[in-house]
Amino acid sequence: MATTMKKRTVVICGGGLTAGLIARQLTAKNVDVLVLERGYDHTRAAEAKLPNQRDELRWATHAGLAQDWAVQTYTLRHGRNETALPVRRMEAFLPGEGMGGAANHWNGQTWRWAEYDPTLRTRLEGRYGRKAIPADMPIQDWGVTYGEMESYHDLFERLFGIAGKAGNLRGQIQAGGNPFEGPRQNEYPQPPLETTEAGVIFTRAAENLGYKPFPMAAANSPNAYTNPDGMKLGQCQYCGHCERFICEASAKGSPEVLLFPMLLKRPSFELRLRCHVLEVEYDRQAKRVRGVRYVDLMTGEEYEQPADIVVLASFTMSNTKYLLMSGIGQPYDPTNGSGVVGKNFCHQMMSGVNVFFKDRWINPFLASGASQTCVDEFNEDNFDHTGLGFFGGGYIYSNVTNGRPIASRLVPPGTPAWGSSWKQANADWHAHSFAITAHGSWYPHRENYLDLDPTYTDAYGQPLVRMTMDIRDNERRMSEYCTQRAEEIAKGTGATIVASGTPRRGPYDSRVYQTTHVTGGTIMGADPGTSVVSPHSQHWDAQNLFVVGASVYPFNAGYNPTGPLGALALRLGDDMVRYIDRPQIL
Amino acid sequence: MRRRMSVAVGALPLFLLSLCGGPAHARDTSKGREVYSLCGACHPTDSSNGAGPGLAGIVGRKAGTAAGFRYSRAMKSSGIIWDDKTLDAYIGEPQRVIPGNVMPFSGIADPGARADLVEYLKTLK
Repeated sequence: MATTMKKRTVVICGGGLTAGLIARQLTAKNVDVLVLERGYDHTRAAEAKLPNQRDELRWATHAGLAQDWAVQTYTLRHGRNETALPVRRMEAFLPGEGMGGAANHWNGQTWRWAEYDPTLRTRLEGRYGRKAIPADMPIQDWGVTYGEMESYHDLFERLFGIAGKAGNLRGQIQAGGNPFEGPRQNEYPQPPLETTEAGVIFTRAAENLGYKPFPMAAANSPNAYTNPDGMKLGQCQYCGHCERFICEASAKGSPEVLLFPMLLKRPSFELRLRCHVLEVEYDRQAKRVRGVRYVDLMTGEEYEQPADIVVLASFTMSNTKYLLMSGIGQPYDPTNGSGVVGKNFCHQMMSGVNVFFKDRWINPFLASGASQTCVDEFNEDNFDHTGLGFFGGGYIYSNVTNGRPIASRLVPPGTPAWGSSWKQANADWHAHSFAITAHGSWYPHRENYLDLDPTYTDAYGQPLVRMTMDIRDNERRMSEYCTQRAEEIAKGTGATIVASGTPRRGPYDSRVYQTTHVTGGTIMGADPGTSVVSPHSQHWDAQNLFVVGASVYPFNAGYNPTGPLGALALRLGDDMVRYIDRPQIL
Repeated sequence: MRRRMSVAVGALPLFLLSLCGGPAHARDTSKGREVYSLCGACHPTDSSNGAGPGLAGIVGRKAGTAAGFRYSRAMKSSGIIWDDKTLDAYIGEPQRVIPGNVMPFSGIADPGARADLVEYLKTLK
């Protein structure tokens, strides 16, 4: 029998980046906020201190900061005619556990998406004709524009001390920045990180081809930084332990450093750790939610937590799962395209080419998660797709984030997979190689979606989320094309050895890393018939329920997802303050 | 961060300050406070602990003894007493001075900036 707790104003399910940002806006206005987080507080535990922080096997290979797959996993199948099976070992994405969520163990690669991304369908139809988008690619506009999000992008960048070089200041293209970025009101709050040797090589090769290379915007702090809240970042030491790790130098913009320590001092904020939300309580007649039901993982006891407002701020698949478990909104049906919950599940497409330099010291271990150099000429609709047979694209970059001994060893093609020549090749090339990578988009396909698995359950007895997912023709062609562009740059680097490019071909494999960015399932839009939440992240079928995170993206761009995630979460925080004043459809 | 001031000269005003006992005679520690921003993300200026130990009373303290902070074995067994000289050396090259310590910081190369910082650290009580 569940114990009923005292009613709260706002209950947020999941204690990660978006929860922290929403709570920042709400508690600044003294709104009562309770965050329920299944994990614990990693601050200054082994994972956040030397020397244990550097344990690659524990935190990276075994993904020690991610969801425990023995407790909760997903099932995967490639098509509706197959039986899905549980994924037992995950590389494809890393849902975080603990205060701060996955944004504690991110690399720090921070992009605003293209100015046209929130209106991508309009853009593509305008440029290529109304019939150009295939019927099985349900791309849609978000119902919000880049301009409406700009000030929130700016705020997020100042809060997280983002380091970069503006490419478009109030419409003026800036030398050294990304000429394809949307107009910004302000320069980045911090100058770019140091350019790596790989970046120097990449820059020359890209410029020779007429491209405009620029430093990736980074949440790895090049200097000591104090944000507008008075919260501090230390200085990045370029140790190459960002993604999958907590920064022990407090130099990575993360909720654990910048948001939660501040929030915990605010009187209207409460964080309840080790609390796993099971479902949202929904009153179908009233079209409102009453609260959530959760289990205290320390005692196994169940609680009902009534709330005026509920926010789903969990990892992409969990947001979808809560809606399906709670019967909120119509589940997506791929046979006729009806329904919305679970629709437009997307990942991203990484591919590239390895380059080896006999006489250049790349020293990949001297890097940070975002100390990279990029070109954006071939991302999404930054180039003409007429006659190419696909939409989308990716940025191409010198991909050095670390030189960790287990995961990051490149050897030339033809090297045996073990034995003394393998060892020799590692010794010869570890410090002399890097990858030129395309970080590609993934547009929705009618047959890629999420629902509840009919067979397999998690440790709490609830059905697993089932991914029906494969790499479809559009993404294959995009990957071919972008990999060729990466190869051209690679050949211009003067490398001793240029390996062949390896475009993604499928089938989709969750055991293979290809960015950890999965999106969709609770997509946003202006039409309740094709979206789960409104442009204000408000659920169409329950006005006191809000959903936030990459699950609201109607497609996945060629850019990393965190920038718009931060902007949308801050904007939602402000929207909710208005909603509390006057509850209505925003 | 351009100033060079010998450690000995730097120590004198503090001595005077302690005699006179008034902030009116305090030397300008604003430069050192500025340098300290490199440390501030981890080290509180009071006796609470952050990712690094609190720095109140650091000058004159034995290394590795701030209450409630878990130090590395290297730091605990270093035997160092923090004074002008040892602080300057450690902040300059942390790993050379105490090999195996776990402060994730590569050091401040500029001796003037270090001297300013040490002056500031002396004000933390």
